[in-house]
Amino acid sequence: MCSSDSREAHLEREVVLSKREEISKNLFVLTFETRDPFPRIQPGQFVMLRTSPGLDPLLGRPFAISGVEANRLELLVAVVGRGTRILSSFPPGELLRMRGPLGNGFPLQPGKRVHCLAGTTGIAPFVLAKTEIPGIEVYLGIPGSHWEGLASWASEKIPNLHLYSEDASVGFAGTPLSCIGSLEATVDVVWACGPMGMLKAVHHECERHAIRSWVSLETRMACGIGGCHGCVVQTVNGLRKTCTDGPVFDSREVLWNE
Amino acid sequence: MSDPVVSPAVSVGKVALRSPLIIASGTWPHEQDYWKDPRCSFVGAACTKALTLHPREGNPGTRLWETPCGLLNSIGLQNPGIDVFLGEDLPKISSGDIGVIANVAMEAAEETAEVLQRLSLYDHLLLAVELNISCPNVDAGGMAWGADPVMAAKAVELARHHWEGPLWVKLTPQCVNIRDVATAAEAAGADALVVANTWLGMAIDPLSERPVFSRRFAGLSGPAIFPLALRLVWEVSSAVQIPVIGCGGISRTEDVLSMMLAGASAVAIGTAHFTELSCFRSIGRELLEHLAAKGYSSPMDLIGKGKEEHGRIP
Repeated sequence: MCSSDSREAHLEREVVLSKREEISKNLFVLTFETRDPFPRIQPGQFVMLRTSPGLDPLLGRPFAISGVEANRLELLVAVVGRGTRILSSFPPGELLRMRGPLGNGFPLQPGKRVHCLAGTTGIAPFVLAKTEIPGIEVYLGIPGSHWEGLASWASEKIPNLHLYSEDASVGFAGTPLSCIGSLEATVDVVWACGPMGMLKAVHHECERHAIRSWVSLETRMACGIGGCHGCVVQTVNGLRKTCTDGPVFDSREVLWNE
Repeated sequence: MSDPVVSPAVSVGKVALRSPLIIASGTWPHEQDYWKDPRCSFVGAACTKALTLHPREGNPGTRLWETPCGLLNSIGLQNPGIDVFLGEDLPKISSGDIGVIANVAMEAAEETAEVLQRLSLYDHLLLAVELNISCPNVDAGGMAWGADPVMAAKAVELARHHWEGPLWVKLTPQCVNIRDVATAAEAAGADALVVANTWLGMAIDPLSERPVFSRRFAGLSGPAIFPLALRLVWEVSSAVQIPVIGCGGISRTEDVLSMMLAGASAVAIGTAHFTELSCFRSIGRELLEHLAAKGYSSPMDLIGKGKEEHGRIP
């Protein structure tokens, strides 16, 4: 555990946008720098990033961290609404406020082979995971060739990336789910990040083959620190907060039909 | 001549606070770290999440929706119930550096009486009870108690009977005349009034073509409501003798100054710290600088000063 002082020092900081790379339409890799080095970050942890120094947009937006090195941190930002549109339009040099790292990352599995299944931008935590744990296998699924920019970027970052597209335009035809059938329950585990429908499918497919899986959930958030209770999800253990109990959950804990 | 020394300390009735900045209910984690300095530097006290007799799950579906300069929420008083709070949360949060104000959600009379009786056994760990007769996000009780002076008086009388310590009452803007509710609460034994809670609003998702929230309506907080809350603080503080705590959209030092000039003895801040945890420290420092520059020795010198030329509102 960190002391209060170090937690305070690490929880919020001013960051400067140092690099903005558009890897395809409405999809950006943003690099931020800050004065002091970031603390150690687990794959699956996230930050809340303000998109304005003023009062509108009001709230920070949660993003999984795709890379960190000393005082530099990288996020994969898809334009999905007003906040991300504003964020992606900033030129390098913009000063923003960042809260985090927050939440719990994917649990390390000593002695197990980890298979990371990503749906489009769900690749972000696994880019970080690959640098931390080189032995993992990473699978990326995209709908089709219009996501090729993401596929190229991820392929550069992740050696031996297993790439799938639903329209068979890039990589293997189909989705990363097809790999689950060949895994072995005693030695393999799955980590997954992507849209809710995909995570649900991953869970059911893993259960069918007795493979343990962990999923990273995405919900609307206001504070990111467990204060507002706005980001709860239904689990077998009652309501849990995505921000502080997650965002990574054992897939068996999540109530998928809610 | 040296500059006068400014202390941020204030008192709300008999409750002494090290600063006028209070953390609003329902916004602060019940984790020990958050109730200690430096996380709480310049915080005078913090309100707990709303407490009920039994655990409450809160509302299903979407709970948050950002609006221009605002936030709609429909949490629905999610809390583990009074027993878990007293057994697990209170020992952690009451050992910190800031006072604990227990926010009690007004339910059926017997339930609220029981909550207050149990809290009374721990009154040495609590600065005050904040009776919440203003939650817009529940069916039974909640703001129904605060919408009408007769109901409000009943709630406050009941609370007064079962809680001997400082009793603050959190009012709702969803009432016909807040001055009537305020004076009724005062007459029934409230020691201070918190003005106010969230404004009832709604959002409709154009894509799904349905209301965003399962309960359709939700509470609006954030800077968007600040001028509305300021008006209510002015009105209520003109109508009652007991202290008023301003609450609603306070985000900047200027907002704190305005609230106190309008008649608030302290302010509650919620949504603003969702975006910046250090807001208490920055507002606190700027407040002291402002007071020193104006030659004041205490934030209390500001209370109601904005009304001096106007006299009592008719």
